[in-house]
Amino acid sequence: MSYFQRKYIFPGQQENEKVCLIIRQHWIVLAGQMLFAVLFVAIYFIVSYVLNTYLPKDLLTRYGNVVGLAKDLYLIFLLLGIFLAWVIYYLNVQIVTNQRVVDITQNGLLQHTVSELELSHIEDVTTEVKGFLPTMFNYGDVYIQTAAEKERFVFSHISRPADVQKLILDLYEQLPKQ
Amino acid sequence: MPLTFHLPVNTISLVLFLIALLLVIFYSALTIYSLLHFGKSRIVGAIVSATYIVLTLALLLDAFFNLRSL
Repeated sequence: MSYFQRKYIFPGQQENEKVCLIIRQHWIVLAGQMLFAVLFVAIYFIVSYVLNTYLPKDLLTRYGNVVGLAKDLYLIFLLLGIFLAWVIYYLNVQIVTNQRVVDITQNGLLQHTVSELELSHIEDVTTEVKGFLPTMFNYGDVYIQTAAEKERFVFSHISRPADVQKLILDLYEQLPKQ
Repeated sequence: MPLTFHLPVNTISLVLFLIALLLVIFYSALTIYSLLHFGKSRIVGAIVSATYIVLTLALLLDAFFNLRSL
């Protein structure tokens, strides 16, 4: 197996465990964060225009390289911010297998939390789609009530929450009865 | 006699560039490590990281040439 192929999709995955669904937050959550990036890019172009138009030519010639350096550093940090936002979004994932539900949360670069819930411990699954955008784009929250130590699992801002709810309940029904 | 004040623009620019370089290297390394270590797909992680590194290096190179011209 090459370095690029992982044997298991998530830590703790069993040999006979089948991954049924991998969910991330709806793309609109990332788009909302990227709006800030667009705003900062707009600021960059506005300031560039203002400097090129209104700064006296002799100052522009003397300090042009300083302005160029400042612009490059601004773009570098903006790019880093976009990269960071995308990585945090990408690493937050929920996985539904034929045995359990796994919630992998990346709160920061070095803060990684993995929560698991056996399907047999599920008591109730509820969905909530609230608001104009969630209704238009069909995304919302799925609440899983459990009998375990952590009483409620929440999958927030996921697409097609009703389908996810149905999948979890179907998998629960397929569990061997004890 | 009027006071004149000469800003050490070259020195300030160099210091700012070095500070920015250290911060970018540190946070980029942390982010790439998190992506490759925790990410589900190493191929996606590798492609995105490579794209980010290429773009950042291009900007750093341009910043370096601007700094050299000061």
